[in-house]
Amino acid sequence: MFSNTLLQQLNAKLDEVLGNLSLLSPELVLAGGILLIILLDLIVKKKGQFVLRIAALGILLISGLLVEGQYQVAFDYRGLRTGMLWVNPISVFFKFIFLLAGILTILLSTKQAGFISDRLKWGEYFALLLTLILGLNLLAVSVNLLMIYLSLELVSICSYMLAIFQFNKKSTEGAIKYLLFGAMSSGFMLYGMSLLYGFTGSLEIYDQAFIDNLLKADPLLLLIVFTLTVTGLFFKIAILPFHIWVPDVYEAAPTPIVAFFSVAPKAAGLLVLSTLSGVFMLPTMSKSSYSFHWIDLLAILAISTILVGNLAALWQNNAKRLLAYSSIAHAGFLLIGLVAHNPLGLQSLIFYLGIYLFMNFGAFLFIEFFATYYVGSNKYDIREYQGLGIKYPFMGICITLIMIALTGLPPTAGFTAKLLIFSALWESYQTQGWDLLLTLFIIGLLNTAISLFYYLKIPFYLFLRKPILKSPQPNLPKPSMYGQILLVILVLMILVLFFKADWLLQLSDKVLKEHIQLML
Amino acid sequence: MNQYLLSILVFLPLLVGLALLFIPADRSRLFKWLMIIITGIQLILSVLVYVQMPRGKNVPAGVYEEASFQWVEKQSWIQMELGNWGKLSIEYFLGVDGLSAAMVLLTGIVMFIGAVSSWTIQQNLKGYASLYLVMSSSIMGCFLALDFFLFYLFFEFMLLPMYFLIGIWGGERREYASIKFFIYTLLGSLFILVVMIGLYLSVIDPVKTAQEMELIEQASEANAQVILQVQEALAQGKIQNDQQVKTFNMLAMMDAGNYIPDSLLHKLSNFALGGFALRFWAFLALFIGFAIKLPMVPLHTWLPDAHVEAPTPVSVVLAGILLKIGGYGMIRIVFSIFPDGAVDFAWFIGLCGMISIIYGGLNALAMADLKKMIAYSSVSHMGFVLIGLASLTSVGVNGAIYQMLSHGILSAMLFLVVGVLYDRTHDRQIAHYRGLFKQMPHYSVLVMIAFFASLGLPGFSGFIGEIFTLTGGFGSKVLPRWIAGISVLGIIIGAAYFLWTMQKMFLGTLWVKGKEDWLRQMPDLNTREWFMLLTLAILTLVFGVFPNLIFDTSVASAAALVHWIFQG
Repeated sequence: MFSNTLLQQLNAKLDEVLGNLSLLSPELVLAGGILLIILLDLIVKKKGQFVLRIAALGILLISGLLVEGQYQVAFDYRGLRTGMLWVNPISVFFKFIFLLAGILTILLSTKQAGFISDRLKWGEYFALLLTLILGLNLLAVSVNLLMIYLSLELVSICSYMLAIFQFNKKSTEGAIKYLLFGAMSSGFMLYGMSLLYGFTGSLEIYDQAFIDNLLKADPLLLLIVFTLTVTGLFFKIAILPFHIWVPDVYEAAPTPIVAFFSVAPKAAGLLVLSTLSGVFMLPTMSKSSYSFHWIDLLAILAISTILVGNLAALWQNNAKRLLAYSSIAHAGFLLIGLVAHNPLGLQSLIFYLGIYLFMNFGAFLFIEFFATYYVGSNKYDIREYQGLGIKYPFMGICITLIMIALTGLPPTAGFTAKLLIFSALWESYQTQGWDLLLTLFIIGLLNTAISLFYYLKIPFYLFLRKPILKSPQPNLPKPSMYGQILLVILVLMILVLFFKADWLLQLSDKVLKEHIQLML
Repeated sequence: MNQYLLSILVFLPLLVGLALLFIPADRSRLFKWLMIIITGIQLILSVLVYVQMPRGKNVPAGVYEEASFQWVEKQSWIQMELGNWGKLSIEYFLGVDGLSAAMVLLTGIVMFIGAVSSWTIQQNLKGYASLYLVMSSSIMGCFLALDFFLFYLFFEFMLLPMYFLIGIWGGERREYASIKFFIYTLLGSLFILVVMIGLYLSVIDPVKTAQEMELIEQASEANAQVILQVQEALAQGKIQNDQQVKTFNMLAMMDAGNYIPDSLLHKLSNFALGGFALRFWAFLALFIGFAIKLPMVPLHTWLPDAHVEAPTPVSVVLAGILLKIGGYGMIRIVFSIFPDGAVDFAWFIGLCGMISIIYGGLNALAMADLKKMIAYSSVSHMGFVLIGLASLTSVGVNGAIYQMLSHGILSAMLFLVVGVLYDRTHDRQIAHYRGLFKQMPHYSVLVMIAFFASLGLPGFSGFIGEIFTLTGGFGSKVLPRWIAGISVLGIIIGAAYFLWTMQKMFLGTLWVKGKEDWLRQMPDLNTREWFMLLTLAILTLVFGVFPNLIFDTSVASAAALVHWIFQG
């Protein structure tokens, strides 16, 4: 009798699990793909690198097709949700960003794109990259604190390992720093989550009990708990004061991986942060006795992140460190989208992330490509670019456009992204009237002028300085077609999305409208 | 052809500039000729635009009324949904009226002369030619755009070619000068960007909103009645958020009826920052943005550096047109969109103009470098534009437009004069030359024409510009008399430094620092230099004797602008 009901329950549970499996199809493909790559690595010896690359690309593409399917479903059936995961339009959009970033990373990890690493283990490299994407995909759909923590750890562990893949002294140092800071921040995060569980007795963030019990708790204490909870995310997004690892890791890790780090985990962190701050805003909003607000905290962090990132970048001569600080500053700008906490803010955040993907991959591609073939002993030193722009004008023009886009000037989509994010902030200021928002607005814009100074450094050395070597170096190869085409595609995206910003915007608007309907 | 005249005017150089990238770099003569031919075509087209402008007092004025602009091109460009905040509309919107016609003509002239003077550029002509043409496009675009986004696009895009033109082909301290120019002007344009964001989120496009509300189906059905209906509904808060179409259209921004009632930049908004309404700050920010470009003391410090380090043709373009965008932006955007601020701040702007005139003049007096002296004289002369504008009289505004045109021609001539000398000896110190009249008589005569025209000798264009702006200043209802009174001193200071320089460099016995070596390298003008200087000399004379060539096109618009400011 007893065993019969248990069996029935088990059956029902099994049916539910099997029924929900379709939710996870892209992730399942990824998981299978990881195993496949490890197996392939054992089998193929000759031409191993090539086979592995094709396999990894294929897996990502198949997973992408499945995500595309979810996209249709998500629009038609108003989201698919279980207790742990919730596949909604926004998370599907973010999965696209991760997959695109993954594909670009693989395309960048080739000799033709300037990525040369003799000691690299390609099998592990691709397997870890796919695992990282799997973690990000899971993170994007998690609505349960435990699930968030687990997927974040999956992401972190893969990141620590990928950071060390140059296998030299510097990368060991960078990776250890990364590991220590990462372990510390995820410790904080876990502590915060356990306190949240203590307050509410629930781990599901959209659970009514979770929200009700939060509203009963002491707001000041909650603010501390919330801050602890999001530290792990701040670490991934590189928001002050959890940004210290960034320059060291960026300098030490393989460049394609750095490009991936600078976009995909940041995007995932921001997505989860936006979900959490939607919930966290409620209790701090309703109690007027405490003048300090969750949004205030985010605004102050955004201001300081932008300032620190930009000011530190001014002094860098190493291209990778420069882009590291620039990515910290951009994290601050992205955070503005959450500070604005209106639909336009979220929409502009999505747009910004999409553009940021192209800009950053373009910049890192250029750096690695150029460093490998044309720069002297000091691989990433910007000062070694002297006069190379005149010699290779095409590459020079491309990188100038990317730098202009990173600064946020027209005619590049970087400008549109900044325009939108500041518009969202203005709207928010118009409705709330908080002076802190205006301060953020002004400091953010002023920083555009500051950032111009260091972004211009690269075109400056490329074009304005005379070459150091008088005689032409004999064995410089011609820029490879592969690298150039990749760069042109990225630059074209930046330009096209300026002149036809509606394409990406309409998509983000559709995603957002669907999402808001689901929330109501 | 006629329909797309303005687009051709703007984009022809850009397209050719991009096409140049595919021509092998060693064909330097081809690049030089292409530059001259393309800017020549641009000149012809801009003259074509100018001569077909309506002339006289009672003609369509433009300014705030779309129907009375000439050669209007209006196309929807970017339409996007802003979350729950309605729609955003960016238009490709070009047009000319009396305020911009003279500037279009000036751009044609100066870009052409600049291209001719680029003949002496030696290195990397391919890059130079394409940057020059791209810059030509964006300058022309600035004067023709009637959509704020489009204007801003051209305004910012100008910086990049300019940065490289100064930074690659400039003098010894070119790196410092180019980055200073870029960051300074970028800072200015950020002030403009702030206000642009605030404005577009406050203003709706009545026609497109009517379409959203399904009052009309086609934009062409819109008439004054429909617009009024929309504006009334807006004022009563009857239009829902998602039906509002926010716009960058400058003409829509000028109409107070298009402002969303609870927006921060609405005229009656209660919102205050530091005790002042936000419109007050917005006016100030816009003004500072354009004042940097003008440049106005104390925001002028980028100018002497940029001028001294830039190669001659770039100096010509910089002084000849780029500064005018500052003045034009004030007329077209600052004064038209914030007429209330214009009245409140008139005394302040006038005061800044006066300080620019006197301070620039005194600095010019003290300069030992001929090019620096001329750069500071630019600061001084652009001060008159501010006085004319701040007077808020029809005479003053006309004078300001005329002064911009006149200074464009004269400063181009002055910088060419310096270039002629610099090409020969690579030295610009005033004290290193004496009695040049004996060595280079033709050159000296043309220099005298340029100097006399600039110091305001009657018969030349400089005189008309100064007289009209000052007359406006004296007759103004909003400026105290002493501002214009003290500004008159600027003319005397101007006379002092020009005459003094002339005496030191061209009169007396012949002596140069480099002795025989230099004298051997100092032949008189060649044909190309003759052509450029003579053309400009004739132009300044023609415009000086027949000022109505300019006034006829601008008078109706200037009157309309002044009327608009006091009515609004």
